[in-house]
Amino acid sequence: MNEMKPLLDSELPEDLASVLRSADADGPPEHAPAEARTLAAVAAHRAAGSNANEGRATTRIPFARSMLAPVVGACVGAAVVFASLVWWNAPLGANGTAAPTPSAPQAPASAARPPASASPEGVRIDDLPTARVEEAAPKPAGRPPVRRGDSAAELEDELAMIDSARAALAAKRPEATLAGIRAYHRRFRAGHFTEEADALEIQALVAMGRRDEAKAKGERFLASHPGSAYVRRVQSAVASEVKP
Amino acid sequence: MSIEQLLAGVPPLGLTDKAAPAATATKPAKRDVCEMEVRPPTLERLVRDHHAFVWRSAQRLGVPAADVEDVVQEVFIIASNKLETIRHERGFLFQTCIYAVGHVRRRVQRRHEVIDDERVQAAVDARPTPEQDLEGARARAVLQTILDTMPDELRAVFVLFELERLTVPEISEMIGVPQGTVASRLRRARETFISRGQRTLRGAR
Repeated sequence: MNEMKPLLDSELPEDLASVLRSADADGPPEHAPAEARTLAAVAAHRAAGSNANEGRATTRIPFARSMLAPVVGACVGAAVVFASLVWWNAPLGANGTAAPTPSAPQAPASAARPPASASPEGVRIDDLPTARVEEAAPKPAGRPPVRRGDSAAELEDELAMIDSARAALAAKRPEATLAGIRAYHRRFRAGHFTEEADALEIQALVAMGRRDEAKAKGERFLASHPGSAYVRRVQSAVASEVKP
Repeated sequence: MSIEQLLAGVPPLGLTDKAAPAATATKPAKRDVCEMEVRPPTLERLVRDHHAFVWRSAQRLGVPAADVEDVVQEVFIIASNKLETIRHERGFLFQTCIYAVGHVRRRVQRRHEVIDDERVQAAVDARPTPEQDLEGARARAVLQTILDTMPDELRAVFVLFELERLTVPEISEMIGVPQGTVASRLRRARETFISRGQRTLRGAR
């Protein structure tokens, strides 16, 4: 396979070579943010996916169980509706002209009680399969969140904390942002989003008017992360602090 | 393994644990690489090491510019579910990329049918980045046009060899195809590139 040298290393007309070379510029326009977005997308997907998988893995019985509650509920509902219809119709059927006063149902109902399931007493809730209802109840409450891997779960938690801090800042609640970021730092000493956390913290400090602190932190940030994707955000936060 | 199989099936053909014995049997010399990759990669490291590679691959395999980021994310999402089985990281990611690209292209085709030609053509055009001058942008568009006319299996080999500058043995290992097949695909891809390239350039003048 001696011929297998890249075309660009062999004799190639210049225009074709430039066509090949044009691909050298391929790749994400801005690397770090694109990477961060990819990590975030994966984390978000895994968060959603772990719930879905959890459902899938345990589909058989829990699904049947989870269907029990609605089915039983529907039965009770239907029975109640049916029973009330019977209540209303029974006096009419018996007396023809009986006024459907609230007290009217009592007598005919008790008179027509016997065995039919149409009787109101035939569908007392107590008669329904309570054991199975209880069985169904613990499912939503008692199921512990299944985690597929610490790192994925943690990434997801990290992301959630950062998101809520960012949301708080957007909602003009910089104190909440600050608290959120402190909590984030306490929990994730070497988190994936520390740069974003620092940037948010600086923005929050600016928003709260704690300018000296913001400036000091901003300078430290710019010095320690010169190539960070958040450089511009930090710069503009610190700069906006100078303006007013 | 044909591209059709690739597109039809779930992605990580041949580069997971199951196929590992075959892969190592054909390439015992690559022990250093294997040692580095014995431990399953973490997602963070995969993204850090290969994000740009996956991005470039998506562009070159024909993803409309607007969809590149989605494809890249999809590739890493798939990878995140298979971390333990990944042996050859780039190989896995590239194959997964081919798979994801197939999805997107089919979607674009549907869009194409429903909406209109021009929009899709515009989306497929390689977008010039600020770093590229006008000439570069034009050249990149020509390249994309040529790549788009290549059959997928030729295109994959051409991209890896001529644009990623990988060797035939490396490509063979990455896509799980014998070296001879890689070489013959590469030859055909080059013929396509040179003949179409010349025609396109002549037409452009």
